[in-house]
Amino acid sequence: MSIKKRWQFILSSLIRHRKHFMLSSIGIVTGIMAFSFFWALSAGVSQVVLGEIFPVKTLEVVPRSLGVNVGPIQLGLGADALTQKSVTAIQAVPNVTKVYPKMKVTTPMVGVGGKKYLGNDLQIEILAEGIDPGLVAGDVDSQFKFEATPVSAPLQSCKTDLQCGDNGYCYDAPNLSWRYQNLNPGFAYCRHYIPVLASQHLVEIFNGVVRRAHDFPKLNPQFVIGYDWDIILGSSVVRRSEASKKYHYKVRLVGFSDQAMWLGLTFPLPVVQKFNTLFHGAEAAQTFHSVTVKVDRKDQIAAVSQKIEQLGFDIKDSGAARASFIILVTTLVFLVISLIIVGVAAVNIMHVYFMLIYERQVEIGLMRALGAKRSDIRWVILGEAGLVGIMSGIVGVVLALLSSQVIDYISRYYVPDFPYKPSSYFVFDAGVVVTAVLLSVGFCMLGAYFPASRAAKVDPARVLTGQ
Amino acid sequence: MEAISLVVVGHLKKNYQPKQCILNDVNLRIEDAEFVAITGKSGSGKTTLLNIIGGLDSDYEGQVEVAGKVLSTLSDDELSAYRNSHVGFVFQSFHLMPHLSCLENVLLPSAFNQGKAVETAFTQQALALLAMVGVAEKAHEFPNCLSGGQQQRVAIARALLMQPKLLLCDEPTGSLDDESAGDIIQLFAKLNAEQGMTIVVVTHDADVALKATRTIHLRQCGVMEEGQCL
Ligand SMILES: Nc1ncnc2c1ncn2[C@@H]1O[C@H](COP(=O)(O)OP(=O)(O)OP(=O)(O)O)[C@@H](O)[C@H]1O
Ligand SMILES: [Mg+2]
Repeated sequence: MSIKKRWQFILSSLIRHRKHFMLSSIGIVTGIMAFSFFWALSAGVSQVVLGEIFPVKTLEVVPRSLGVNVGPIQLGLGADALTQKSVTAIQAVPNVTKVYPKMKVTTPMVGVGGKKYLGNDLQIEILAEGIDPGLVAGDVDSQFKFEATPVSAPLQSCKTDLQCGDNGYCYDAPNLSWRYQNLNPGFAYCRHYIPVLASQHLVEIFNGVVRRAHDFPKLNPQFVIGYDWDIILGSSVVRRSEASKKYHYKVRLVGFSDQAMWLGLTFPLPVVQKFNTLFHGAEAAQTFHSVTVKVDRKDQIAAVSQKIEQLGFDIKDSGAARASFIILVTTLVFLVISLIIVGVAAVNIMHVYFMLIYERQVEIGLMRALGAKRSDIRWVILGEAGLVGIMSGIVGVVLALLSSQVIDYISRYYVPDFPYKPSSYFVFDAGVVVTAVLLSVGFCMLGAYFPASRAAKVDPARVLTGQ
Repeated sequence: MEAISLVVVGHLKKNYQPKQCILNDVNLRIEDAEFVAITGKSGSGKTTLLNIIGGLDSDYEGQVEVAGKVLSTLSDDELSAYRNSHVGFVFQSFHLMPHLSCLENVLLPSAFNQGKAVETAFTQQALALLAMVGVAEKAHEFPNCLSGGQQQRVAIARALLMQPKLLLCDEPTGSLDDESAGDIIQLFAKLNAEQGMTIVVVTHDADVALKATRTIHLRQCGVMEEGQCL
């Protein structure tokens, strides 16, 4: 029997028995719908959690220190910083593409600004670190640069910011409203803004929590790029921590980055090296606090971590491992439930098929008497099941897609904002669709397998001429 | 040496349950172009014998040879091919598929044909057969719209589509009124006389037996009597 003839039989029989097939596929549609729904949900949640909350493209290496609790205080035993030598050693580990040392600002700093957007100047203590500009090249807004631009001699005198170009401001020390140590009192000259990066977390926390406490407007992260404010290095809200020297700078936000500090500002590394040198001497420029390690491929992360730990460093737990584990387990639970539904549906399909084959035994017997082979009969029955499977799979995915749209709609318009609230909780990619349809086809054909064998064994003599 | 017969049945034994006696040592020859009627009491094994010759039943002892093929040596697929191209079946209850038109019903065996014949050739053949059996104008109607006699004619056309050597009919007139039955018997006689078709008809109907060139009477437990030849 030719393939074309077989398909003609399959289609004509599907059309003739469409009611039976529709009934028999309800279970499989439900199962496939659940399966693709949970898969897409898990992919969507993973995307937010692993892509935005805990990006895991890199490793964060920190010095190994043993915390010893002494009353309320934990005394650190071992190194508290990484030297240039440590950085070189980490760079030498196989499969490490590149290392990017990071340095915390070791002097307190206060930021002042925000009037333009919030109606009032905020004055807050700022934590900051320096990062290798190479690590964040892609995150910097195209109209700005993320680099240290030292003031070049001779100094260009000025009266207004406009005289200092797009990336500069007029540094007019005596007219500033707070007290600080000025390097060149009485002389106004042009300076570059210091570029800083912030983390998306900061915006999320501001929009989700801070602004509610202070009744500020919600910030659009894209819009605040380019905004500038003042920082006073050496100043602190904790009076005891105030340094004897203070330096004033203006900083400008040039982008958001996954690599940026969660609660703080991220400067180009040379800037922080300079800051720390100002207060702690030349050696501070070579004292790093962590190293970001880029690995060739994600799957090498485990091996590289192990090597680095053997070198005597620690890997900072980003929380990503735990988060992805929880997502994985939850997803597996739901997928197993979906598979059980699909499995039960396959049993249901088997019953319907046995019934159908009983009903159609004369037809099958006649086909056999007229020359159909056993394999022809089996092929036709399995082909019917396969087609039903494809259709159920598609219907299941479409239903899952529709319900995800409904949920996203409800979330968008009826659920209040929360940090990292995604515009969609679902990711339907080709993988979900293909897997769902294959699964559906597989289980339909599995359900039809025994009925097909029985059909192939129908005895034409009995059903056509028997009493 | 005698020319080989179309059907040779030798020492055929068949029972469905142990100790049962349905066919026991049946020996039978049917020559090419014969019109044979098989008669016998209900339960004597007529249908069983016909199914064995037609390759629908391969669970028996003894030898059955049709057109030089020893049926017991054929695989299941080969038996399917044999049923498709060497024999045509006509059943008491027609067994036409209700969802197919008469023409499509006649064409059904061609779907299982393993040769490379062209579809249009089959369609022409089917239309010619429908005309020959006298229901040409019903080709595109569904079987439900036809009388019993007409349905049986369509079934006969279907049995003839693949140009079999042997037509096996199990009580073909059993469900028909006398007039239609007479027409069908007439058709068999014509097929046999004009085209030399070998026909084996199982029947209770004395009229059929009279038209046949030979009558074989089956008795319970396979004892056979030859009827008078016409
Ligand atoms: N599939 C079967 N399983 C068990 N016994 C069967 C089967 N088919 C037929 N028989 C028995 O075998 C015997 C012969 O049956 P068969 O149908 O060949 O008789 P028959 O001569 O065609 O009868 P009828 O004239 O009533 O059609 C009967 O006793 C019948 O009950
Ligand atoms: Mg019978």
